[in-house]
Amino acid sequence: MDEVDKIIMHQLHAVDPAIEPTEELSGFTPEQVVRAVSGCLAEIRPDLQLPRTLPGGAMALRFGVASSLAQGCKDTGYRGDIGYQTFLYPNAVELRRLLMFLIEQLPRERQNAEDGASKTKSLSHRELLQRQIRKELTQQLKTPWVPQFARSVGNRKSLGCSSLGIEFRPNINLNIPSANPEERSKEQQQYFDQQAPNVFQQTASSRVDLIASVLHKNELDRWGQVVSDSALLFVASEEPATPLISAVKSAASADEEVSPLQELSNEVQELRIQCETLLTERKTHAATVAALKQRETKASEEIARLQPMLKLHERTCLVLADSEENLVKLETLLKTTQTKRQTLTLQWQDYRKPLLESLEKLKTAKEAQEVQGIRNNIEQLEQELQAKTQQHNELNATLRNASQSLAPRKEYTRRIHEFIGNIRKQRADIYKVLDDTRQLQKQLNVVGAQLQRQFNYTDDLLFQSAKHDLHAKRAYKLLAQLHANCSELVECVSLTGNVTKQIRELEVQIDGEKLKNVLTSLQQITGDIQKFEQHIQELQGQIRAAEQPRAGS
Amino acid sequence: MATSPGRSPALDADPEPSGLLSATVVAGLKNLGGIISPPLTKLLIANSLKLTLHPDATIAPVPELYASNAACAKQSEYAVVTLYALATKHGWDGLQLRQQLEQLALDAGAVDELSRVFEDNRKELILRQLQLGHSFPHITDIQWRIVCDVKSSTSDCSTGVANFHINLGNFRPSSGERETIVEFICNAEELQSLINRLKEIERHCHHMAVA
Repeated sequence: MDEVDKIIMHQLHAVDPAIEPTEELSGFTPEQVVRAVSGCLAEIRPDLQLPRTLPGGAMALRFGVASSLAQGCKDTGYRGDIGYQTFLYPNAVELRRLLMFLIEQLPRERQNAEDGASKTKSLSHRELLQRQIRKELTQQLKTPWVPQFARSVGNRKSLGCSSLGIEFRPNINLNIPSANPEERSKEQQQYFDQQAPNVFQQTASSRVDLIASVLHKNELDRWGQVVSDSALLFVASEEPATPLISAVKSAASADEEVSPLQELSNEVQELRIQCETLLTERKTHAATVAALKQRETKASEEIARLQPMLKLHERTCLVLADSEENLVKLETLLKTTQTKRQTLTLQWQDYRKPLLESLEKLKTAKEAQEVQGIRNNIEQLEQELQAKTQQHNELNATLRNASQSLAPRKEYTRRIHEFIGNIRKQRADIYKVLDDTRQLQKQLNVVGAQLQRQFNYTDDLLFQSAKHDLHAKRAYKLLAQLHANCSELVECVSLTGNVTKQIRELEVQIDGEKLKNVLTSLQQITGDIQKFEQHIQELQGQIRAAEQPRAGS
Repeated sequence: MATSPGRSPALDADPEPSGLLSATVVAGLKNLGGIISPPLTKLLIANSLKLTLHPDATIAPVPELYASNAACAKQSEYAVVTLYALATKHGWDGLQLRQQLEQLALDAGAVDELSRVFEDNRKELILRQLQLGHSFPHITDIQWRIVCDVKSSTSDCSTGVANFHINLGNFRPSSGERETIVEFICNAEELQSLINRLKEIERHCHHMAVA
């Protein structure tokens, strides 16, 4: 029982930090009981308004608080015996049962939040959203079914979730008089005054919606010019629906326009033919232009190829004109270039030497630097190694500590396993006993039936012979008596069995009642009753005192 | 139509600051209380609202409304409906509506009547406009039967397989006629798996609601 109490106290501490986990359940005062139970109830059903503390003074107030808490527990589904006495005169057994029930009912989500050690952190948006979804779903699951056609009325409270969606289908040809009356022609004005249907008639068809249509038209009027493409598109689709006025007009003037129409069509025919001939001409011209262009590109390519060859020929001609003089000239040129080259190589050597030396120097310096770098690296790594070993040692130590602190948990699991084993054994025993009982019952039945048959047979036999024989008659009487006595005996035995059973049940009940330490609660109750009486007397005294001056006056 | 209404005036004469109303609407609102007399204005607003909220409502015919200046009356009807639709769309309350209307320099009586009627019916208007929009259809009715083919265009004999022919649909709110949304055929195994998936959804919902 101690461990159960520990778990309960731990959970209560989580619910209400004012309750210390070190306290004993049997030593709970009524104030603490009220605090614990109302804390749990507030967690389970946050919508419930419950008193958090037990008022100190008047008994009636205390009684009211205790009964409201008892009602709250009953509402959450507690089936046990509960009333104001549970809170005002607590006993450990009932309290344990009640608190265990309440802790089982605590919402899981809260426990998880505590495990994450984020008790005080406010909820994130995601959690808030999830909570809202949950609330909405619970509400939807709880709502009664409403036929589809009644949904717009039945689900009004949830603002339109009626599954009666209306498609946003505007009438794109809404025909409304424009803003400036001066712009309208006489016929248009007449049409609008007499024939045009109003906006409701235009949207009466079930295929379009009034509000969608007016919103669409309003936006079209505002942006129609800016977004001319879409406007054009609508104009195009308006064509078939629009010819109300123009059709009338054209019909009226049809007779007069017959001959000009023919003239115009003839003209159009001629122009068409002309256009065709021009087009064919244009085609032939374009072909010749393309051919000439091709020739031009070919010629320019040829020119580009021939020009370098021409230059080479010109030069060789110049050299060959005066060959000997030119040869001498070339030789001298060769010599001068050779000397020039030698001087240049010498100069190059001069420059090269110092550069090579510096290169050598730099190479050595670089190597030295690298060596230094590697050394530094090694030092760093050594330091790291030391730090790691230290950490390793520390972690080893903590591991040892942790394994030590884990021991009680292992112990608990071992004990739980033991308990489970014991329970299994006991269950097997119970089954065995039950089997035995059944076997016994069966045997009893068999024997009883056998006996009955035997008796019947004997009864028949004796009855037949009793008609002739006097002794047999006597024997028959004795048999009947024997039978009656025996059945009485059997009845007695079964009665004894029942009585022992009842005795055992009563003993168990007595044990239970003894645990509730009735005596102390009785004393408390009598004390409270005395307080009540005292209070009543005081009140009566006050009433009398109040009445006397009134009577005197 | 040749009236391609009020396109140029929409930009030329755009007097109100919010710019949400087209010139046609503004012109229609200005008719109220002026060209259309105050009692007729009241009647026109009431009729427009009623027909907006209940498109299939029948209202008593009012010949005097169209007797003298029918074009203006038609324009004003359109203007009132548009004004309320826009006010609901942009979530105005009665005060905001009144401010917007006062900027348009309308007749004071008409402004009073318009904002009073709007305030009285604001919730209904919101509900009406909440229903409007593009969305997937709800399924509110299921019909099914067991079908089997007798012969087909390619063979003379039946396949001998019985299938479930299932039709999911809903009823049109306006006319009440049934509308098919999905129609499909499945055998018992496929049906079972469909049912299992649906049950999974239900379980998940319960889980979400309870956890």
